[in-house]
Amino acid sequence: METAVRDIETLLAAYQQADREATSLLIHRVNPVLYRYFYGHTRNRQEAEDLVQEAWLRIHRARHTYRPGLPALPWLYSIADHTRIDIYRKRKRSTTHEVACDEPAEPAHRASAPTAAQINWNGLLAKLPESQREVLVLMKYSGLSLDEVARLKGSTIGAVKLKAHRAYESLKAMLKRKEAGK
Amino acid sequence: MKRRDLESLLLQDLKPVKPLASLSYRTLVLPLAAVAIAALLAAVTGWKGWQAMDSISRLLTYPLIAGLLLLQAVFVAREMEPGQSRPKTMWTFAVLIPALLLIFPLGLLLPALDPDSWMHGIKCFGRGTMTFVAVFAGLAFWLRRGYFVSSERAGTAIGILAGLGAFFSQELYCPIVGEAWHVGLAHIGVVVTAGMIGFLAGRFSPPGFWNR
Repeated sequence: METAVRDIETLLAAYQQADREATSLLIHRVNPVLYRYFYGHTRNRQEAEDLVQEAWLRIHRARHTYRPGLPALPWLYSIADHTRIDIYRKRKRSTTHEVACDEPAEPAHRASAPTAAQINWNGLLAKLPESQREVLVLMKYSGLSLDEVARLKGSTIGAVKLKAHRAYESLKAMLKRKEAGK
Repeated sequence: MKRRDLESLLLQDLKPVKPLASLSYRTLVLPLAAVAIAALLAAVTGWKGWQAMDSISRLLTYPLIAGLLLLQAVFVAREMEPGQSRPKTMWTFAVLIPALLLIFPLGLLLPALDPDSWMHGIKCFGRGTMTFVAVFAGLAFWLRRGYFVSSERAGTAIGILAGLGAFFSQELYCPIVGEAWHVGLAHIGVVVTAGMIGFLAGRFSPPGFWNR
């Protein structure tokens, strides 16, 4: 099948032309990318899946703003990033008006707990400052290059490198402290 | 919503769309549109400002404002499209230059405070603000063809752009061209106010307002 080897850029261009097969393929290709990105930030499967759905609705509304030929990932991540920020703000606003109640039990199919190693990494990542965590998530979970992260964040490659370096140093220090505590 | 539901929802609503015009096209069209609307509004009362200026002042004033408009248009045109980089220096230019222009005449303000000047300043500011609203409304219709990921940033950027359009218009119709305090408060003040109104419009606008 020819569409199987098409890249995201080509699929996005076909999506703009209302190509149904390309759209389905694009959804299957982009979903894991978005999920990894959101999971890296929220470390919660359900929340990450909800964010993926919301991001798709926005991508659909904004599909005409992708210009064929340009890299698709910065475009996609920019929408994803603001989806995350908007939903976070909305939740923050609504939680101030809500009365806290017990969390409902997690459905059985979601109960598969992450491995111990993952829990450790998630905990460590959560301790990093937001700007450093964001750079690490984009580079390591989403696989973006330094240049792509810099474009996406409106920053320079040097600044992104510095943030990543600081994040690695902080992680190293946290791991050392943990080991020393054992 | 399950993945299959999402897919069928997107496929149901699938229609061909025309990709956004190129960045350079948008960057050129925006200041031209702003200047055209501003000049049209200035023509209603006559270009008294243009007539009152000598040729050197004209050569300094209009290209300076046009340059600021172009700079701000680069920013707005990039904002219309997700994933375009937004160098922070561009923000600095876009916000700082009008602010610096405002600071200069403020130093000369106090000796010029007489009631008539104040009244004229308030009227001029009011007209400038109305011009800003007209330019803002004129541009917003076309700008909503883009997709602004941050409504606050969109509002501020479009507000400053429209404010600069109003400033251009004021420099065309306002006969007081030699008084720095008047230009600072009543003309450049409109740009600063426009940015603030734009920010508030972005913050409190209903979801999806900035994206058609």
